Amino acid sequence: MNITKKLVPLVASAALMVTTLAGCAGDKNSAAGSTAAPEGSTPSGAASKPASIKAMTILFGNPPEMTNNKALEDLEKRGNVDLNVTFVPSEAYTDKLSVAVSAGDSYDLLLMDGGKDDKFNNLVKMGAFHDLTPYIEKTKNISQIDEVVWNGAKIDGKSYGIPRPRGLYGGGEANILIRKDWLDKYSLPVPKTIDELTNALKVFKEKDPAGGGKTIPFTIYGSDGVNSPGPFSGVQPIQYAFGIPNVWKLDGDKVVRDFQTPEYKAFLEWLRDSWSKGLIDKDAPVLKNQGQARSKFLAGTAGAFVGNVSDIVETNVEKLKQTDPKAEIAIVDVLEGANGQKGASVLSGYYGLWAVPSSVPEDKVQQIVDFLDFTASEENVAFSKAGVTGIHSSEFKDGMAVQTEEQKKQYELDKPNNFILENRADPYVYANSKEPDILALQKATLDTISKIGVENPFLSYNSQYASKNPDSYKKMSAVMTKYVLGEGAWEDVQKEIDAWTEGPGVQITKELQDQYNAEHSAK
Amino acid sequence: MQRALRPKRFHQLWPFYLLAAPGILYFLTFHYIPMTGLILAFKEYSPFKGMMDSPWVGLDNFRQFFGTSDFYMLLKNTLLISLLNLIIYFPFTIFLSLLLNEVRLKVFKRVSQTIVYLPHFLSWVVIYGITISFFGPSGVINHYLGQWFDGSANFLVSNEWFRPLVIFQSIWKDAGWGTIIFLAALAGINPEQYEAAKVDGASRLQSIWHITLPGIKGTIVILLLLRLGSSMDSNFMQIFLMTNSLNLDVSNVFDLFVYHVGLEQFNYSFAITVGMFKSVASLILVLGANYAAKLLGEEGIF
Repeated sequence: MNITKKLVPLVASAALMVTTLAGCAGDKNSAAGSTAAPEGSTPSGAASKPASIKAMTILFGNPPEMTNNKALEDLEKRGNVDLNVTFVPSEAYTDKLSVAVSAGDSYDLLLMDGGKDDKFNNLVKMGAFHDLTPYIEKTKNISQIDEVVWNGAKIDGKSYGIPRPRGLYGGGEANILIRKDWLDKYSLPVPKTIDELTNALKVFKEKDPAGGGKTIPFTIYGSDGVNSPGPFSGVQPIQYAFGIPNVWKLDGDKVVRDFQTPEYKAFLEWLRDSWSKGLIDKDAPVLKNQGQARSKFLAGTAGAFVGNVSDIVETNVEKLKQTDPKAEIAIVDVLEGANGQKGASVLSGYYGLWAVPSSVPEDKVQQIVDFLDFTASEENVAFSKAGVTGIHSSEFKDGMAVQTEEQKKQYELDKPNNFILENRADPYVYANSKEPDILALQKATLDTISKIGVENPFLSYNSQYASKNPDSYKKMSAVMTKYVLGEGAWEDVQKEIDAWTEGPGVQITKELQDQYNAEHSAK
Repeated sequence: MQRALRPKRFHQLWPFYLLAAPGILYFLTFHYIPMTGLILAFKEYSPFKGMMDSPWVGLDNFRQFFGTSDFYMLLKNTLLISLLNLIIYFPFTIFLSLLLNEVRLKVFKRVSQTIVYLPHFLSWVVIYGITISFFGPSGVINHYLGQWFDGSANFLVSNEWFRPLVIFQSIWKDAGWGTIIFLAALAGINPEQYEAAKVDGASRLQSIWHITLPGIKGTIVILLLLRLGSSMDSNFMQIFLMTNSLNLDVSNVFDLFVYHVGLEQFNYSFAITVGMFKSVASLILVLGANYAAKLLGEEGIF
């Protein structure tokens, strides 16, 4: 009797747990059911019924206010959609995307942040996404994107993702940014050639403008050795000043990789020499990305780093002025080498591809594409900058929003630009300043570098071999870094280059060239 | 007596089976069903075709894995870091527990225990940040090395210093936390033994050697076996943050490889292959060590 008395609550709680578990399972089912339901109901839904779109996108900085967001309300009304955007911080994006894709989460629209990389290729081959080619034809704005950009993003001649347009020039690491106030202090010109740059860095080292021996003349960062074999990243303008190709070069029918050229050796020697003189940030080998190099520059200790026109924006200058009120930034638009070599990468012209998972029913795809097209319209360019008139700005004039302090604050909260999923094709997309002077300088710089573009003939192709052997460049990166740091001889580097040329290089080159030939002979 | 030992019938015991049911259900759903995913190691998995419809590729993934020129380097690096942890970090936690156990002043003991636990709650990112500001090329130590001896040491950017630093980090972060189980075991030793030893004139060191250590021998063996079981795992976060192109020869481990190949490139099957290899190797290690422990007269874990 006693025992049963004690047992009853135990058994009851056990039973409760079982039912809770069952309840969980039940929940899952009903959730699946609810996502399935709209699929069935949308096809009949005419234009009057708002399309519900669940999208996942990358986020830099703070997320917009999600409750009672007037910007979102306005956009949903004009676009006739029910928009549900999941903003994922950039640091976690790759992992989250991987999970979202593999778990088959019910997104209607995913931003493939890496563009047409191995991942995207693999996923397309697995049948992960809808072929959007037929849906794009009818669009008004998206179809204005440059042919080159479209071609670069196609797989087997089909578009599985809609590129989010960026400039073909001037993104990433196109220009050197240098402390104008330091140059002026020692009566130096803004460097136009590699010698002038080296000289300026030397002066920074000697005179120590940051004080206390803290000056870092030039800050760059270590390469991961997965995609780029070089010792350091954040040195593009200097590479082009030495005449190094943009990763690959076609010399007749011969395919040449950047590090196989004699120019590359000269570039490494410049790095080695600069390192020995203390011109390069000692921490460079342990820095992991451009952000870390940029933050050293914005902290006021570094004299120069490689960024792009959007880095001279006034908010960056303000940050610098907190440590040094006299701080000013100059931009080196073109850096010339000894024989007049110069260049800026011709980029893929987009950041991220919008892909529609194949789990989305076919009749919904056009609605999704139409919505993307709608966000890329002129009216939404104004919207992304000025938000809703009367709430986020009073007026939109000459491409700039006229805002009161109150409206600025509301804009920062609601972030209308974050909901404009697809950008309008615009070569000046990186010119983002609100100060007319800086904006003009940004546009002028972009114009200048668009004349010295260096193309990578294999930009949009991928080597399966390289993707399955992500470590194939790591050894090379290690010996090159050692060489630059003065710890190794050139023979070691040459040996690694030869080993690559005779080993994995054969396969990688062949795969890339095959794709190139297939596409170019077909035309 | 005889009757009591006879196995009882189900109808007599059903409340207990019912009690166990949620546990069994939990293990089935979350531990055993997911194990079927291992068949993906023999397939070219595509999440969109599903587990069943992905094509079979036999042992291709394994062939590719063992065929990579880096396989032995990965194996060596993984095992070496585990081995160093085993012979430096692990005895250190025992040593630290013995020290803490000898502290007689209660307040001091509590305070010092809390202090050694604390770093465990810091994330590896923070620890890497601290490491950089101390050992980095422009860190504190190199600053003084430069000032006093006119030299510098490549702590973070060389092969030689990578392993010592990783072990040092582990000790700094987790040694205090690792003492918890030992301290619990130490608390279980009968104080009468110490009193008896004292009467017989044993010194403090002698009583540590003859009473304390034998008293926690069983715990040491079991923890050692458990550690062996995870010797194919590395602390991913720690290693991931510590690698750079100048220490790749020693820092590249299986977990990092899986991250690059499996997650970054979406080669799920390949990642599962590596994971399966790790599990099988760990199982063999544990079974072997368990067998050895039993030969030596210890209890083991099975």
